[in-house]
Amino acid sequence: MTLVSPVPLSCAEVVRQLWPHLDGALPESARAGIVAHLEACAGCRSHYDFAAAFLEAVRTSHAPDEFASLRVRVATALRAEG
Amino acid sequence: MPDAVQDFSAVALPHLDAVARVARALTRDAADADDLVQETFLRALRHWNTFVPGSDCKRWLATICRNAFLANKARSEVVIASEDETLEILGAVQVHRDARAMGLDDLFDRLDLGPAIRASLERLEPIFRDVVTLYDVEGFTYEEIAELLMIPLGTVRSRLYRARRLLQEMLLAHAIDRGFAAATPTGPRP
Repeated sequence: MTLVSPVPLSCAEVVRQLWPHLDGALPESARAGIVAHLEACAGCRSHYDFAAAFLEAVRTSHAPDEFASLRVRVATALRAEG
Repeated sequence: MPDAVQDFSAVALPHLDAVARVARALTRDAADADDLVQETFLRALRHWNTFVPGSDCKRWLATICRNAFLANKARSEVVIASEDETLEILGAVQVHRDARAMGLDDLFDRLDLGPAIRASLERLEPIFRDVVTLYDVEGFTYEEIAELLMIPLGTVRSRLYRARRLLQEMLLAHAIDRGFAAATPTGPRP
């Protein structure tokens, strides 16, 4: 297999793909170019880190047992059905 | 030149300008548009026997162009951001620049924003809240959300990116209100 170096990307090109990259929605060929750019560019890396921290905060933001009352209601309905 | 090609060229090529304008409108890129125009005419030649003589050749070619564009788009490996998607991504980057200017680069690491995030989610319009919740909280994929909500994939992405940008702006405002920042950001917004 011949290894192919990723095509160098500009900051504008990398920034435009920030969300798809963080979402893992890019093909490997595109991802490699972005990873290479982020390793070399502190400015874009800071945008990436900020966005990644934001996503992590959102992902862990849901209240514990957010649907507790609904769970009770459904369980009750199921028992009644049974 | 074989007779079929000659006949086709005589009838179809006069419409090349029109097809090229359709291709540029679809692709928004001159190089891609040229490729698409070539592909259009090659496809049209292959199906020349289906063209009804005397019917609207320009419309026929334009339809082939559009269908070729859609077929290529479906096969494409690249996630092509729509204009809206790109604007939302750039908007989110501007939020980061604003945060950095106010010393809040580590906003999401420093503060416990759980309650503020939940409150901000509630303030979003449902079409944005639904998508960001399904994706970022529940872990559905773009494709699953598109199927579930019966909306196009591009709509999922554009709504998701907008929701994220709006949430970031609200959370930054929340941090400012709580006194975690002092400086006023400068610079134009996209």
